Amino acid sequence: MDDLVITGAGVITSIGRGRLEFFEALCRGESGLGPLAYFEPRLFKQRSAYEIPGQTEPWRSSRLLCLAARQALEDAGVEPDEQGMVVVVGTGLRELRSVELWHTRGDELRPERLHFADALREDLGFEGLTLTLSNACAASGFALGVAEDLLELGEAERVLVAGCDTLTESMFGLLDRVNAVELPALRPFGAPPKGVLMGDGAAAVLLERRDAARARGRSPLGVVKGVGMSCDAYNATAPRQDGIVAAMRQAQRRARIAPADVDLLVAHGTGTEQNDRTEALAIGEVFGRRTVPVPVTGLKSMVGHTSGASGLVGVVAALEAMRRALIPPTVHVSALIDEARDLDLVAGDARAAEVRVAQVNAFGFGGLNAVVILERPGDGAGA
Amino acid sequence: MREQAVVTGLGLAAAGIDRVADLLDALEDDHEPEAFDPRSRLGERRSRYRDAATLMALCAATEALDGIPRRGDDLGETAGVVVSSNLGNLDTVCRVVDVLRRRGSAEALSPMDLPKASSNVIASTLAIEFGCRGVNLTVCNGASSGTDALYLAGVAIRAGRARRVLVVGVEASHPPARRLLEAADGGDGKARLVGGAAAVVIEAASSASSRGARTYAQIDAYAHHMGKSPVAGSIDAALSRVGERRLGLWIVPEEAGSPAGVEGSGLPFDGGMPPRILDLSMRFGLLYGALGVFQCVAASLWLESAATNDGHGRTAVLTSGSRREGASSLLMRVGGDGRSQCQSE
Repeated sequence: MDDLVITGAGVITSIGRGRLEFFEALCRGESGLGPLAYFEPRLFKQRSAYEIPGQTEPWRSSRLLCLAARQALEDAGVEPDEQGMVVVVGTGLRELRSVELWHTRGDELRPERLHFADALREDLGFEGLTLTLSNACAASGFALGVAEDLLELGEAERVLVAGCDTLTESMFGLLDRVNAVELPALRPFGAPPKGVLMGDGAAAVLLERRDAARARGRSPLGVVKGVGMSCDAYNATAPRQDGIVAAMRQAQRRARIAPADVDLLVAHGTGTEQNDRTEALAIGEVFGRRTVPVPVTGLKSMVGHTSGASGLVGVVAALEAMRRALIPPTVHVSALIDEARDLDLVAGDARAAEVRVAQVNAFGFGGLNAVVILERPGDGAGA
Repeated sequence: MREQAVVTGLGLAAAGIDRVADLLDALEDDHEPEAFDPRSRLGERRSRYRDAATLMALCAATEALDGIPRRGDDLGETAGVVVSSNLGNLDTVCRVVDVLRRRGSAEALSPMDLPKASSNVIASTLAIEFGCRGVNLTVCNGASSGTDALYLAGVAIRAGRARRVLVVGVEASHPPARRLLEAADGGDGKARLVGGAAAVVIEAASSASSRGARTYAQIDAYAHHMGKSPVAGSIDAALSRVGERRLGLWIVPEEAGSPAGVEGSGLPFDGGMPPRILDLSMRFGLLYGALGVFQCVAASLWLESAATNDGHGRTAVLTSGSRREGASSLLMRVGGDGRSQCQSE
């Protein structure tokens, strides 16, 4: 099987849009945390989030998706009406924010606007197959895995893989209910107080076979070596170490690499007690035998938890890290939780480092695990 | 050599149909669509803290997995789950924002609602209940969602991601779902959403045959089509993918209106005999995201009983979708290397 390569990427988060601007903001350690822009603050303990302010409602998720999709297609030099293209969208909360506005404010809602084919057709003129996968916070990692399968089976010529999410009041409210106190920031692997803070975001990449990219004269941004997809089948919200370990090993096996080959791990790192402890222990279990620990970073300290978009947001950051030999930092973390003491967390400032192989973790409610292995173009066999 | 995907388990959660094998007979009677009560089948303990869609999905899945070998409660890491539901958790979302407004504080919310605020709660509950540790997808893709879910289950099998995939299509009839769907359908009261779930087990043919499994049918080709004639376009494309020209059964989409449109839609039927046409909405009302999987259950039963027939009785096409979003068609055929129940008896 020919390698699958990414030839275009787009992203929009609270700290910037476009892969270049976004990555520079990450490396400066910027934070997108701001006062709640769309909900009534008095209903919640937490009165801040990593939102993208200044947008009109409803249909914020759809608009973010279309922005990221357009960037990725332009970056790749592909027209939206190109034959043989399939779109796979991973999302945790679909347009459920628009459902809330329909329910509480009487905004218009048609059933087909809950997912994204209609928006992509209206905005981009895309008339092919769009698949919307609602796979919690691992959604866009799963979307990339499905895209990998579609291309390997010859079911598509190229796949636009995307992730998008905006905060819903219901999810924000329920997380507020379980967070003990108001949090000053989301701190992946950081010492207490612990908890997750949500963010808005979308990301998209154009995935195709290497020979197809070569025939179009495009040089890849990165190679997708393998995606692991699994479910803990254990708990509705809590993660489980052996499930995460299995997903990481599955991804590395599919990518035909060893833990020692990984130069950067973009962690899921949600800042919650349960995720951070479990993920840190799982990383220790998989990577523990290395003589030099793998550098780990947690982007959510800057963009918040962008739910279903977070996996691809991590992929876009990892692509740039490979291209520029620079690892974005994890900010607002001064002390680590016990389980993360052995992690080489890139804290404070960006770190210059050669990154040939990067791993991106994305986990979600229900024990969903998606793990992506990327390789710098030109480093692999057959390059 | 890629794996062929075959159907080895069927289940339903629909009022008035106690066993899935009774479905084809039930389609003959002229019952009005009525609501299904999953709590009476599952009992209080299994029903607690779960939403209506999840409960119906559990009922259908339990029946579909009956007879599938498991180690303890565990189907294992080669077992996947693909769920199709568009409106599944809208009841939780709307109730939570109501409570926030009424009580004026997030402290009034119940933490038990947290997993249900995420639309994948059905698929993850099924995975937990049956120990499915492989790929787990929730497809929220509108009217064609059930057909698309079956396609993705087949993709997971053919790509070697899973040996067995539980596919469930479900919509619950809670007030937000009814309000949204029935209004969209013109609000004339003709389109009713009573809710229901259907489940199928899709399995790698080699795994089914090595355990001598009852095999209903095989999943053959899928196509999605947008444009002027999405229904005809998707059927034509699905048949063309495998060079099939004969069609024994066509199960129509919800928006088809009258099945009489078949000939008029320019479908590529030849071979003389027109296909048998089934419209599930007469018996079940609107099924929306569940439709494709209900259709797959009906087609599987029909193909199994037709397995000994010659000619056009050996193929079925399921179509779902809408004019706005395009249509998806899935071609199924008598399958499973001659191991279907009818032939072995």
